[in-house]
Amino acid sequence: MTENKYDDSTFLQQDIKDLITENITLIGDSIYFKLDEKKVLTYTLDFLFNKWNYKYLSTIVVIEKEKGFVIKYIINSTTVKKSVIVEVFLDKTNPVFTSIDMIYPVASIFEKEINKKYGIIFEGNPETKNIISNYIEKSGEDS
Amino acid sequence: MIKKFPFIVNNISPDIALGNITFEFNLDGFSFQDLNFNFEYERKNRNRYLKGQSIKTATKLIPKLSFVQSHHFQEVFSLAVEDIYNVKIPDRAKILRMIILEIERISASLLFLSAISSSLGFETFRYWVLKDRENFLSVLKTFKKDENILNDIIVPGGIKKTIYNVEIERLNEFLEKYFERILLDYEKIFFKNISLISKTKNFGVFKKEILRKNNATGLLLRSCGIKFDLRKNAPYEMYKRVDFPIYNFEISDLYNRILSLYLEIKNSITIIKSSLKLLNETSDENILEIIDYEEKIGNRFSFKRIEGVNGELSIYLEVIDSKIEHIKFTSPSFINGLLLMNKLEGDYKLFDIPAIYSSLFIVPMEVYL
Repeated sequence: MTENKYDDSTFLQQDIKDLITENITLIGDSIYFKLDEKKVLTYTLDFLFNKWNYKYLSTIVVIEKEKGFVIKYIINSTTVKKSVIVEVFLDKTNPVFTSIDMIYPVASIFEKEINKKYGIIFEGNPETKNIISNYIEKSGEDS
Repeated sequence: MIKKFPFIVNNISPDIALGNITFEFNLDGFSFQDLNFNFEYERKNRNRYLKGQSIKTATKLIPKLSFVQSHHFQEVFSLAVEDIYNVKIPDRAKILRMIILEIERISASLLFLSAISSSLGFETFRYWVLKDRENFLSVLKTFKKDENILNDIIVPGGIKKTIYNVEIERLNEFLEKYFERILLDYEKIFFKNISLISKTKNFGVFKKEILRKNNATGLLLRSCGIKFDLRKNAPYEMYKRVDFPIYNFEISDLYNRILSLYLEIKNSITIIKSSLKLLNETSDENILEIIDYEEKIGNRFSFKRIEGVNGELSIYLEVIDSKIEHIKFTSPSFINGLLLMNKLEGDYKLFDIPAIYSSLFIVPMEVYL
């Protein structure tokens, strides 16, 4: 029987390189990578959730920049010790993004908070709404 | 008839926070449905408050974010700063940090126990617990003499003050002669009390799948039979070198959640005792590694998590040349307060709410950070 030369996170890193992106960085105890297209996010998280047991969404961090928002999803596993940080960029001209509450139910309250602070709308999450259109709906005012 | 009620749980002093905790629910007969918590007061954006501050200034401000686990906040912040500056702290500082954290865990568990016992009508026990908590905090003061509890003893790079042999003996003596005996009394009077058991067994049950799905951590997760503790599964400081059992139960009912506090205290005592032994093994070396904040490090970030007193406490810290660019704490109170209470299944009455609410270990200040 051959000896297993890789620990979990080495396999994981190789898997991410093969299937998602080659540009991954190790920062402390975390594996960090950027996604060029926001469409890939759901697929990436779903892959990490099911294959690598990353079933715990620690937090969603939003950093406001001049042109848009940097959104970082930080997920953790009960089997692999390293955290994974997935970064996506969202343009300010169209601050609409996909909700991930189908994968992580807890994401709904994180997204709700982000919606209140930064106005980003997460499609599929009924609690995040366009604040202005919601106001018009409620007050009945319409220009 | 179904009617919406606002009901005030806690009226917090405006010095600490602005506003009330309220919750809305639909009332069907005497049973509530669709419960929603509002922590309206804490809408301040802490990131804006700390953004642009230097790390030195932030070190003094961080402990004020929580009145229950201020040292844990300092710890997780220090770990992130040390990670960013690639600093390795001395072993003695690591052990001292562990002792301080475990003392705080005991004091916090006693505080949670006082809240739960009060909501269940055990008023005498509540005052007893609070008195013992004060005694315990006075032990914490041996590290810091007569300084304020919220003072920053854990700092990036190590620890501010050392613990002397006389203080080690005093702490050991306090644990052995006083505190462990008191715990036996707690067991007889409270934990094995028939009236407590009949009130709390199979009451306020959260299903295992619900807790697992909704990011429950720490005590709550362990109370439903999932053996997970960050001190064991992803150890930081010197937790690798101390041995303690991870308890678990079959179902997460109110009684098991209360009992988990008791077991948590027992575990903390075990950890403190083995840490004190470890402390004797280390030589009297430096306890503070000085970090050069003048160094131009550019843009760096770090994510760290530790086992807080009520679950996983995490920080995301981004720094540009020793100035904080972005900081975000995520406390279990955020998830427990806003999500879990709504997932409660079963027929519960209005007067059941305070007991179940207090068993979720929510620290109001930590809900919005």
